Amino acid sequence: MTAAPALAAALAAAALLLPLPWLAIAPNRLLPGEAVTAVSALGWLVLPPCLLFGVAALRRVPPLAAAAAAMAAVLLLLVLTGLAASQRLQDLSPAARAGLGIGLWLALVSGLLLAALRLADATLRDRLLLAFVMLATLAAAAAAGAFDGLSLAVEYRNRAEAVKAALLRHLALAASALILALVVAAPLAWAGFRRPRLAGPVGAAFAGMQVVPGLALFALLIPLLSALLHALPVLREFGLAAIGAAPAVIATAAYLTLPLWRGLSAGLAAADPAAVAAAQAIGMGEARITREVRLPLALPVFAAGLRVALVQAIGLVTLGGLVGAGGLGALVFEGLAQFATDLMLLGAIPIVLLALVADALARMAETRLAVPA
Amino acid sequence: MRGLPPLLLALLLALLAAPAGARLLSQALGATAEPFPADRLIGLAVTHAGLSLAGVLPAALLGIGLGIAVTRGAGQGLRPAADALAAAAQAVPPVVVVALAVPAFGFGLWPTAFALLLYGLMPVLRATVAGLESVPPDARAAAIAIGLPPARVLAEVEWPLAWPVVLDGLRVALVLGIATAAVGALAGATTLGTPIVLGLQNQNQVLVVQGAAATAALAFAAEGLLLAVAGRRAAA
Amino acid sequence: MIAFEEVTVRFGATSALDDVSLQVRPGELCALVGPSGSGKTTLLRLVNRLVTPHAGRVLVRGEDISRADGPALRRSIGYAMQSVGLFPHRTVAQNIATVPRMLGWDGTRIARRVAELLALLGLDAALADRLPRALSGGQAQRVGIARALAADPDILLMDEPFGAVDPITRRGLRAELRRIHAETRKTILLVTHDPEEALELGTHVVVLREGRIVADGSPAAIIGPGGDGFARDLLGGGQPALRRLSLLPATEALQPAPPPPGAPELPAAASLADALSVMAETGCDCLAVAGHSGSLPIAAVLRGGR
Repeated sequence: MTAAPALAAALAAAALLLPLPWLAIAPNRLLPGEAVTAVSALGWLVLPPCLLFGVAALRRVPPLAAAAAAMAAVLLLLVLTGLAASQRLQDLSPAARAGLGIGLWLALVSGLLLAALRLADATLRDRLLLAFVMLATLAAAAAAGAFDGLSLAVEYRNRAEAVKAALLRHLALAASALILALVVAAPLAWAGFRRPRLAGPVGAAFAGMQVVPGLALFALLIPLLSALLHALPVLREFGLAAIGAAPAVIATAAYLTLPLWRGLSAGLAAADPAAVAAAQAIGMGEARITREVRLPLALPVFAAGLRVALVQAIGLVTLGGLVGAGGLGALVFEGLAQFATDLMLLGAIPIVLLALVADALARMAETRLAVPA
Repeated sequence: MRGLPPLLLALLLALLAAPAGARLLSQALGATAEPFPADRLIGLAVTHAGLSLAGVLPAALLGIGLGIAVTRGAGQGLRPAADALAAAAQAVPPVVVVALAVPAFGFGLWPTAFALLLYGLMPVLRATVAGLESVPPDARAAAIAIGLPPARVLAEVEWPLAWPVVLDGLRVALVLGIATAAVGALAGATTLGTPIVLGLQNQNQVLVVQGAAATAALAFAAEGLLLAVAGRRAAA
Repeated sequence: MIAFEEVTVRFGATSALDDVSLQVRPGELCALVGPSGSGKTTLLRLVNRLVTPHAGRVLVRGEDISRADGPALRRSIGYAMQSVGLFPHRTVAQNIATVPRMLGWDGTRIARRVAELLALLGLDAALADRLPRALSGGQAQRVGIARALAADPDILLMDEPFGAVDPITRRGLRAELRRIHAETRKTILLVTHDPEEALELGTHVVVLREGRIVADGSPAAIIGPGGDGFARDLLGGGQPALRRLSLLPATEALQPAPPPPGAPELPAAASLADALSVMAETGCDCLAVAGHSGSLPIAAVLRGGR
């Protein structure tokens, strides 16, 4: 048993066995609930998941089987908890909700971490296969109504359309910010490559942007944009507004310039000077050298910068919900304003999942681009 | 001196946040609202800085301790978990962590404190590991061979060589901590983020400008001060 | 001074040293030579317990070191290695002072010792306050050796200490080491893969091959007739007899008869190989030796080589 998986398994088991709030039974969606521990919610059924977590941490168990055991434990916990919640709500008013407690979150997060740790050396195919099986089982359980008792599922049922729309909006905002940042960073990276004296100040300016707290920049753009529109009303005709998508996309893009610029600059510098000299020596022109020598060598480095920027864009656009841009952040802030924790989670959980999925997909694409050593 | 530009920027932003500066700006913007009084703003700035420091410093110490542990024999098994957590924290911005922490901790100070702990821990942990790994293996091998016991190898050779990298991590952690404390205003913490949120809710642009400028001033001040410390050490 | 008794060391399944026994007497400069992977560095690292044996005993100053405190043992033994490993954040003087400081020497004693060592190794005193990155390769090697000698240990371990410097600097450093050894009479264990270095420096040469000692003795004895074939091949460079002549002083073969008039004169420190070289150059078959009354006929030179 190595330390990290053992620790994750111990955390998951502790979350189940310690008297932490597992479910919170509340009279409606806004009031805080009465805490129920895992042992009183699930009874002796806490033992099988505990056992599975333990098995998953054993070094003798093959990694793939161990990861499957951890995932099975997580699924089992979700289904058991869902059923227990439905049972508890049976005799209460229809407005009553069964919220998820910190113990359940801890068990889920450490269980998934355990699976991820055991999968660290697995092939991509095996990982995707396991993830697919897990998601399919989850979907099937959801369709069968296993989670109907959980307040998060109730909230989702009531808001499914809004969540889907917010998800698409979120992606659109992130993509726009990425494109805007690329439009700014790419010419500056090229300029810095041709005239290295420019690279220092440009890099310092982009790095300086990172210091500005996110909330401050998003908020500050509203008065700045409204002043701009005041001075140049003609901009309104191009659809620019002080509130909405514009401040969100601009502020997000401001933070993305640094990773993009770094990736682009490092990529351009990645070409071996000897290879460039050789290309010049056999009579290639500058445009051709860039196309045939610099770009292919730079691509994997660009891709890494693009991945960092993409993942950050998905997270940063969240603050757009504050400046009227919509997206998943709007759900989060609506939830925060209403003290409705389920609504908050309905916004926040997809953001985390989107960021992790984007990271995984981008890494896959990167390995394809990498120059074979 | 690398710390000077951020410190000058901080001064400029602080002037903009002061009621006189904000009034000037609001007139230029055509806004009429009364600015936030200076004493309340200073009070919020002190709370904000105190909260950030109180969250980041213990987290940083924990990060340094963990970083040292996972690079030693016994703690090496924890390395993958530390790496996974650090990568996950990088993918998720503070605002999402604060939002995720609210259901667990309720409204108020605690979600922000939790997020501060996370964003204080991760950069420092990463930097400590990176710094210790950048120590030339020859120097470490020589220290052992001439008879330094493990604790002194760490104290006399590894730590002094890793420190500049750790200091970089501390700077990132503190700047992130200030951003996190600002976002914490959404979950009920009282910080410089509070006037921003109030201003956004009541469409009071003066308040927004003051809060945003003050928050940014604090972040640049932290950046500048830590850069200055790093610069002085490098020159010494 | 140092004794290995039936020592075996394994790394995983492969054995690095196999049942090795060896005695190193006080004041010897014992050169451990052999191809890479022969176990010479492992043998060296056993002495200050950077490696622990799986079987057998290692005795230092008559005591079994398996019960000694590792760091304390290492502080009592100097150690210099090919990659030097100077601490990049400390000045030359601070690097040299590492062990004395740990032993609690006072400031003036440390300063005096640092100055002494800089002089002993032919380093300019002005280098004391430099950082290692300002040193040339040869200077860094010297500082590394000074650091190893700082607390005046009676034993010095050197792992290819001149491996990373250019040939000319290496020749200078070798001469320096021979002088330091002559002046301090420390027991030195030197690992090298350079046969010439082993023969030139060692008062005692040990040849290793695949974890076993194949030859152990004085340089001239090892490459003399009847020595181990592998050792003679390795150290003799194809001409073991000539190599051996170069290790023997010409005065040893001196005959009582006076030299013929007009015989060329050899310097007193010349070797038998030098004598042969002068004969080949001048065509004379009998030489005189400066400061000596006897003569050196070719037959005596050739007898010395056998």
